[in-house]
Amino acid sequence: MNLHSFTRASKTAVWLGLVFLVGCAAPSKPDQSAFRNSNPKSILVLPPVNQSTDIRGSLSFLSTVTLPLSEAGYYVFPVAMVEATFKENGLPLPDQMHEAPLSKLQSIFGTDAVLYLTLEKYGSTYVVLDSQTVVTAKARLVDARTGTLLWQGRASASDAEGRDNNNGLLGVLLTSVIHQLASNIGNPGYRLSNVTSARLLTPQPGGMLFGPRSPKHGKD
Amino acid sequence: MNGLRLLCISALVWLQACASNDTSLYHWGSYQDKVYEGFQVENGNTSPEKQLQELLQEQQKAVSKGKALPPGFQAHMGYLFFQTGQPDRAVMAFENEKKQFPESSTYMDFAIGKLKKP
Repeated sequence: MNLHSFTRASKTAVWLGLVFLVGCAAPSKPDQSAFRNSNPKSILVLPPVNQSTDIRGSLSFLSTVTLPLSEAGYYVFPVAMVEATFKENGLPLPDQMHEAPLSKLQSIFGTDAVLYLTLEKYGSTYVVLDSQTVVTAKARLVDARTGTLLWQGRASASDAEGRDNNNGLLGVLLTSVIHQLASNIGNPGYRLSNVTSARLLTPQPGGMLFGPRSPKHGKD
Repeated sequence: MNGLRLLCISALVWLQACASNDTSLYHWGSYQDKVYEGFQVENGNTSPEKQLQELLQEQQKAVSKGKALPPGFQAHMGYLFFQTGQPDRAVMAFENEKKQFPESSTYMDFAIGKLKKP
């Protein structure tokens, strides 16, 4: 490692440290009392409404949400079986599923909360000499009894994140995080969906809260 | 310069700790990948039989690691048993899901009710 690249790596490390500290400080917390009072144990995830150009996006993204939500401490209904249940009951499209009345969802699933997802971007865009895959999604968590909005968020992941910083520590960090989360399944949209899901649904200050099955429940 | 070197090293150690410390609540293995592949069935990629086989292996791994199966895992197996014409094993899997996660009771009873209908 020559002096120049070491200095650059050092700067990156300092910067990373600062970002980490700022992340910990979380200056302004939004009001989470509705979420805390509702204290849901279970979450029914409906197949995402798809605004992307790839029709495979919805189910691909849906496959990746169970892990972060479960590890956050919630019971998550089996996504594929739930999707089949909607189809059998005459609601084959996510847009229709999202319009199902909460009372109906409660009577079939007995869920405490419902997660409505919208897939904004899923797939590759081609630019000169290069292509970039992006997965962007937003989420609304709603109390299944009252319809109260408990939390909403939005997250994105792109495979250009690691590439653009290839030599710095940050690049190494992002690339390794992406590799850690990503499976060895070839489809890049699915691989990045795992990262977007984790960013969207992992508890963080002012964001998603820990659920009853996590040891961190009630401490965040 | 030494201070910076130290910071670099501690950042790496911190990352390492994150990577190796397995504090996960559940054994995941290839579960989500199988769910993903299952959605591709219509494209002729993965049969429910093959999915089931692989999930049974994951179940073994979870047992040997002493880790719990994730939410929905046993219910999903039940759904695959149903798809492969084994309704009795499907009911058993749904009952297991209920036992592990009482939050699933209403839905599992709904599914069992459908299977038991003549």
